[in-house]
Amino acid sequence: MEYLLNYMEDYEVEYLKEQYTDEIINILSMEKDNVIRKINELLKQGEDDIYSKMSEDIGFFIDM
Amino acid sequence: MVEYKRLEELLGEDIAKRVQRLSPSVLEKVTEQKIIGIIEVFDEFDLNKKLFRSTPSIFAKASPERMRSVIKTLDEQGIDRSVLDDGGNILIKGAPDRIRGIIQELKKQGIGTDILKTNGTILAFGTPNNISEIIQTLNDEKIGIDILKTNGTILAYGNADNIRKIIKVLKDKRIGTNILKTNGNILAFGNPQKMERTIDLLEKTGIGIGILKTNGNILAQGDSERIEEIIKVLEDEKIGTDILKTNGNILARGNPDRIRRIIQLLREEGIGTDILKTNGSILDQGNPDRMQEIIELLDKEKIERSVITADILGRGNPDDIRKIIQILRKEGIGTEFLVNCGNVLAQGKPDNIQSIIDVLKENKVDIDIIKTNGSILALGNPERIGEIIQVLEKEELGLDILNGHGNILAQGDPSRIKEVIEALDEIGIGKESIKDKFAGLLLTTSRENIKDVFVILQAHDLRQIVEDNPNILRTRSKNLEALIRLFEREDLIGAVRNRPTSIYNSSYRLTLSRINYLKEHGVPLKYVDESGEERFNQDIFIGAEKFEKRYGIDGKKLKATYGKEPTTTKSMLEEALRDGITSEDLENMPQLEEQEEKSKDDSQK
Repeated sequence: MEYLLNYMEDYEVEYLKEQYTDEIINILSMEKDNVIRKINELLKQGEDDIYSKMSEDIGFFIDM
Repeated sequence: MVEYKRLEELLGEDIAKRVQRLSPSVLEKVTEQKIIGIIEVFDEFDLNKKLFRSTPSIFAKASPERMRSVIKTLDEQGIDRSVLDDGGNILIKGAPDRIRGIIQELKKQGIGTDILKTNGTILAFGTPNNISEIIQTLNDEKIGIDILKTNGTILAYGNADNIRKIIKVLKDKRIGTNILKTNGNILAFGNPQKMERTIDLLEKTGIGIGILKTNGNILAQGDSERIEEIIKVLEDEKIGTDILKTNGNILARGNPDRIRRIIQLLREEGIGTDILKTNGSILDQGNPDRMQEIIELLDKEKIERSVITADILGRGNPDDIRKIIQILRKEGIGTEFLVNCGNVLAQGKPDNIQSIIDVLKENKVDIDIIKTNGSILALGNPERIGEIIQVLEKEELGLDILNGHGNILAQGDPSRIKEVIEALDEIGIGKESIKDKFAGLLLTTSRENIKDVFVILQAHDLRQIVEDNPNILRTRSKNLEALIRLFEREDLIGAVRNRPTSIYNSSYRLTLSRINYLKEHGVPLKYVDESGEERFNQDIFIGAEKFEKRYGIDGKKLKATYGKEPTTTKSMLEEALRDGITSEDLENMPQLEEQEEKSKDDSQK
């Protein structure tokens, strides 16, 4: 989850861990490159609230 | 002295070469007889000869007689021979009497010998006396011996006097001993004087000792002079020290010269240092020569620079990368997709990749799936992929489900996928829905979670929302239940029915802190719309920045101040008991907080 910490305060990563199953947290770690790419896409589009986006649509980050 | 040719006859070419390269003294000083003797011991006791490869120095350092007596002692003491998978240390350094004494001491101290399963080195480097003193010290210093369960190395490498000094430094410098719970290796490898200097340095440079909470290794392995140099490099090269917040290992294990070379290489090759933001670990793990080789190779193969990720540079193997590119071209997949899937080059193994492609072809899966799901090649396992395809076909889902969900092949576990399909079936989700809206769940939840979530929804009369909200099945059931109870407590269930995402698209702790804050500031949590429907105040769910902008409180403070459970006092419980409390009420009751009642009493006194 190290890469997520670069975009989000650690308390928000904790929120994700609280909210999602281990399977999702594992995918976020395993698919690090893809998740970073998608986060960067969102940042380029002006989306700055990555936690909310992950909260609302985790599929965007992990369903491929 | 032994001739290289003879060594090759005895050990095979691969191991003989390693001996020649890594332990040349074996050829100069060790007799053929000794080498044969060691091989005979391995044969006699059926030991794993992989050790010859990993520790070629064993031929110089071990003696057949000693090895034989050590193994017999282990057998006699009932210790599994798997402890010998410790890199040869026990075979080289172990002594029968000392081993017997250590085992006796471990039993006497109530630790038992299970600790040796993961810390066999205690038998190589420990002594009964030292073990006894360390345990005494841990108890005297109120650290306790539980720390040894996860840090058995303390008994192998630590010593009582050093441990006492380390604990004193931690206390004197106000770091406290809690750090040892997650970083017990500080006691095994730390040097109190160096630790003291490191702590002073962290404070002096403004990095702060907070970094130690998540990177205790800095104290176990760090060296103040080296750390000072690393900080200087990061500042000279305009990287800054913020990178250390998430990559503390740079200070624990990094080498200043290498770090400088890596940063300069990234700049010179036009890759830039932005990739460090998400992968700072390459500064302590990367090898600049190898990185350079990878960059040159990718240029030669005409692979776009944008393909290069920190992972490729940090973990990639040039030979593997070359072979992978050849396979991708030969199979007609091409290399363009690597822009989005750099991990194929970082983590993929050529043989595995070829087998995966073969399995996909055999099962008539469109090979183009790789272009959108490169992880299949990076993380997939050919046998598992074959089994997953069989499960999907047997469960009559077909392979179209893979469109948009190819990740199932990369990371799926066939038996878990089967269980999820069955669990979905059990809660009434038809096959067509699984293929469509619920496909993403095959990888992201479990049978247990689906069942737990469904039971909770049923109990709260909300089961009907599953059909339109598949994602609810991949939220943690505990989080879901806590949110539902919170909304019930706050009379918001009407609003939940109009916004089902409220119970699974947010963390309980975050929602709780928002609700507590809004309530305290007199902001209504809901409103009734024109059609008479209850709706949430959207501010409960908006993003952190918007909330901060609107209410002037940042997320961390909000969580710390308002993210606490409401408390139940003794008087509330007594009142409830008078009114006739049920066990269900008790379950719903927020945790008992005696302290609050006590402090109230104290203040009245």
